[in-house]
Amino acid sequence: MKQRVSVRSSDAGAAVVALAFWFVCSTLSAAPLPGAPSFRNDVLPVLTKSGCNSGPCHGALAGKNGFKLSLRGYDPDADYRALTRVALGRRVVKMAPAHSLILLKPTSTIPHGGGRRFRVGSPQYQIIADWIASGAPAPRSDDPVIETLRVIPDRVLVEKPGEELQLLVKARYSDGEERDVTRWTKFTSTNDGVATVDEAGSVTTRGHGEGAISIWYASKVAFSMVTVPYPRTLDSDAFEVLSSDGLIDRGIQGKLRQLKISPSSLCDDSTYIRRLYLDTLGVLPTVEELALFLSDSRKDKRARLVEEVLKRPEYVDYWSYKWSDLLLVSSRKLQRSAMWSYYEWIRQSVRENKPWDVFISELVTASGNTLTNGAANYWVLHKKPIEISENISQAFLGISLTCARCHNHPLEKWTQNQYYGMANLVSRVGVKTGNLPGEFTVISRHMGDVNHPRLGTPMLPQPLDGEALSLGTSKDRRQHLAEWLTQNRHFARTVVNRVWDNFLGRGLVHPVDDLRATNPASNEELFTALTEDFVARGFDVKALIREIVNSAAYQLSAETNDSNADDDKYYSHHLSRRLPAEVVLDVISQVTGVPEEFEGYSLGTRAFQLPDTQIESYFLDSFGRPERLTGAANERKRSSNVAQALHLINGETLNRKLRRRGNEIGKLLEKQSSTRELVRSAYRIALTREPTSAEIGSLQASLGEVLDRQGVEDLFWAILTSKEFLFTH
Amino acid sequence: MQWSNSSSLRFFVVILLSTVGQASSLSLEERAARILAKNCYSCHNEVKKESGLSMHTHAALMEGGDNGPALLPGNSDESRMLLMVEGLLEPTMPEDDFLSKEDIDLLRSWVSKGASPWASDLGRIQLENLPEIELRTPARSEIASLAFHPSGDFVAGGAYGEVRLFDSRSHEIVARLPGHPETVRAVVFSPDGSILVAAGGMPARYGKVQIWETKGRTLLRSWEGHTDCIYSLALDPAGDHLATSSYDRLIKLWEVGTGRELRTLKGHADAVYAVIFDLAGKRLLSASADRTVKIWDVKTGSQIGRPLGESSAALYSLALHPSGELVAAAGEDKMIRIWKLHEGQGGELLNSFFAHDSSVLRLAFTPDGQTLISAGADRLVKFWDVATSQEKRTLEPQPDWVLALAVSADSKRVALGRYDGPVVFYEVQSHD
Repeated sequence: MKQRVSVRSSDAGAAVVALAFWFVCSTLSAAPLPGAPSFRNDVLPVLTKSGCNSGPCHGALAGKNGFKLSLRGYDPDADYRALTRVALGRRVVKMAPAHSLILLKPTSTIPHGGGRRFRVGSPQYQIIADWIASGAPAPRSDDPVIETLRVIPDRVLVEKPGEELQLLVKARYSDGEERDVTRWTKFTSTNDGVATVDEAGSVTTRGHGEGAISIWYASKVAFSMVTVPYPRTLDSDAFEVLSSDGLIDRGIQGKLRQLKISPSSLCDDSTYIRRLYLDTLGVLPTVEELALFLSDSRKDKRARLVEEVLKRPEYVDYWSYKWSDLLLVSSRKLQRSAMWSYYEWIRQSVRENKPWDVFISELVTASGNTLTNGAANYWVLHKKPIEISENISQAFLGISLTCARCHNHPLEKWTQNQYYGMANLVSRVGVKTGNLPGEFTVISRHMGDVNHPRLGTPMLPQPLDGEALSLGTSKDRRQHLAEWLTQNRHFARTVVNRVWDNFLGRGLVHPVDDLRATNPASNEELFTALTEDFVARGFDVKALIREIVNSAAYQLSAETNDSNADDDKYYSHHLSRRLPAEVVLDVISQVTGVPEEFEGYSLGTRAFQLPDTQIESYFLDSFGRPERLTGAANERKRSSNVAQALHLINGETLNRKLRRRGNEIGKLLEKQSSTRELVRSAYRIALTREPTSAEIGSLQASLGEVLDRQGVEDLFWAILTSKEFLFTH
Repeated sequence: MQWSNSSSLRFFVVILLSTVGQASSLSLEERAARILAKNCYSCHNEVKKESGLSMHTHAALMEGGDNGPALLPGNSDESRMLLMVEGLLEPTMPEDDFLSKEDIDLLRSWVSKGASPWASDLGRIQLENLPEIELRTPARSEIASLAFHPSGDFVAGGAYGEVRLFDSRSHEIVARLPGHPETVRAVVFSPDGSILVAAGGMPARYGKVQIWETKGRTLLRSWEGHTDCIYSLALDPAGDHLATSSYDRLIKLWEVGTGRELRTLKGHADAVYAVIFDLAGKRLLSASADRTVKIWDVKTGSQIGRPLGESSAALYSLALHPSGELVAAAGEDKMIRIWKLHEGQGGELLNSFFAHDSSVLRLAFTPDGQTLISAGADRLVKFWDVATSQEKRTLEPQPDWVLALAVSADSKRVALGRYDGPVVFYEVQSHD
């Protein structure tokens, strides 16, 4: 079998190399050959980098062509057996390493469905060859394991597109050694428009803006942030509008300066009051409230308005509804009485501005009767420990754990073991049925564990990478989870991001509940500062809201300038977006003075006051009301579509309200004499502003001087179906 | 702890530049084949046919691909393949490399002179030119298969490249029967022990069978078949017919006396790891990674009844009870299942039970029908009472995987072949 290979050298320099290793005499012993490649730390990274154990290939659940590896190498022991012993050892030939399928196939020396992954003689080849030649030693329990991964540089400012830079990746191991693993790292760009990266970690900038290069090695992740400012010279006072001392304005100004995007100017008072009311309360200011605000001449009138708004009862409605989306309040799984109990607990918590950590802690550790302790209903909604731990992670940490149910998470650092360790924290919750409908008693039991599906034994109860409890501990596992949860960095960040998204139209991390390590924030400095502030104030949601709506950044106009017209990430101007379903319905009802009828609820109940998204409403459904099945942010559909437009324009909901006798339109007709005055009133009521003289002119022309019901209905119809009404601005 | 640092390669690399010397004894077409094997075959082979073109044989190359003929014999100026390697037609070939001027000239010459056929399979050529990788530590061949000679005096063990005959008392190797390209993964004696069949082959390439005359250790005949190595052998009671099963999902029936291929049994969806004949030699049973045991009519080659499909993972081993009425199969799901065979109709599951903490690798009934022996990837060998399915005995944990199992004709001894190399013998009945 051994043959000297004859090689022709070719002109272009691609040469097949014949390998000769010097023969080291050694006795066979249990200790590994000194210098032998480590299966765990040398061979597996080669297989991962070469794509052998990727999802579409041998890392698939069924493997490929009978050869199965763990996805991205999360199970070195199983991979070792699959390579050396399974199927009577067909893949590694101890006696003649070059004949091993693990070398013949990936070099395409013999046909390989996966094509050529590396060449004969390449570093990949040599590592695997040397490993086999060293007796194919197994991974050992005392192998050094990777602890941290870092990329150098981790942030870089590049002047222009077309520049190249090389990333360096280093891994630190449990034996203290640090190693350059750049060659075996997987690189991906999160924004190809800004920068692309090749297999070797060489980055090329392509456009302007900011993008992260995320890296993956041995189940660890990190990223390098690449910023390419726009090639502009801006006026020295371009950032004047954001020059306040507030941390939000400072944070946004810093990013905009760096990128050379200049912010728009502040919005006017009409715009501000409308925006504030809709974003915080879900209702429009009345004509009187508008007039009062516009005529207020105090310098701090906007701040004062904020204080009044935060005291309004509608505040409680709006935010109770929002958190009900997250906590899945619905009659789908809960009996009405239980649902109300759950909802009332949320309302009470919002009313008293309960600190967010206390609020969620109560939820996670809730016990007792579901009719008297509303929070306990959370444990009736989710029965299986793995469902609960996934929901907790998603809702409160912005971490999607599902992938780790079956294998190590391919994108994040979470392992399958950690998944089941987390599930084992919530495995001792019992739910006993009570007598009344919807009545359950939630109790903490002293027994019960979730088994790891592959190992068949329970993992130590451990919150992801937090401190593990022993299996026999007497400490309440949920208590331990709650403590870890509320102190976890992701916890505060997630709720801050949700609140921020509500007002600014886009989370600092987007999507709003996807706080992966490989999905960095658009302004990490601001996000960190804002979160630290939030925590320092005791997880005070109302204080956070106050801080946001008082910032200049929140008050920027929706009108763009030359430098920021394309920006939809860095908050250089207000991001116009469609109003949520409930807001649309409520403000239509408010403007027309015709409340929507919801079956089983007294007339006058606004959509935001409903505890249940199961209540029949075609309108709300077509505008994206969530079903409250998962609590994921994408449950609420924010996009606009033709169905919505048609329903609004032609459907019953709006038109019925317009036609109702005795509605606001009727009252307006009685009061107003001239077309001009009527138009002005209509604009104030519906659009929170005065019409321009051009608008008045053209509407006078259409409506004529003699006002009739139909004409005014048409006017309102036109306003209420307009973009200005349905979108924030 | 010292461990290798891949970024500073410690390997000493030697580039050997050849003269044309080694190749000059080959014909033009064989030299052309070697150029194609080295530079083109990895993308143009029978598995991965880029643009529909495979070059694994001369005939395949001449068939051409999606864009028509790859070459026009006698016309090197208009041959597509040549235009591409010369860079005159996009995309240039090879995709990420260049042929040397000498290689291009040779190919041109070959095409001009009629593109005469070469004999080899390019895949075989590739295997002849592998780099030499010297071992850094001595390697010991595994024993992948075992068979007890009916006399009980010795066992045949399948090792790397050869069959080794071990004296069953002294445990020494008394003979080596060479000639296999890699590990001999199946061995079987004829009922009277006069013939030994050994099968193996090259994984992912082909299977090979050898027929040996036991006494004189002479090779009677050998042949190749299948497109992957052979994992199991079965001789019918008369010793005339041989069944082989392979990773290529096929079972083949052969005439022992001539090596003639009689029939191919197609139907398994994955590697077939075990085959056995029933007592009468009329039916063949097979166990596969596709989780089924199939029963075949030997004469017609078609399946009998429904497959025995209760297993939830790949099956590695099959054993027929000496009565011919029961069949046991086991594999990756750690369980042993026993079916009762019905005449002409298939089988019925009698029992299934967890046997090991990881995959079950081998099963064997003792000839007296009382004991079923199993070897698992948990390194344990267990003895089960056939009547009750109760575990009677477990051997001390083995140092490595037991790949092969054989029981002596008198049911008294069991031989184990291991991945780390040795054959070890145990008494079936323990003496405690």
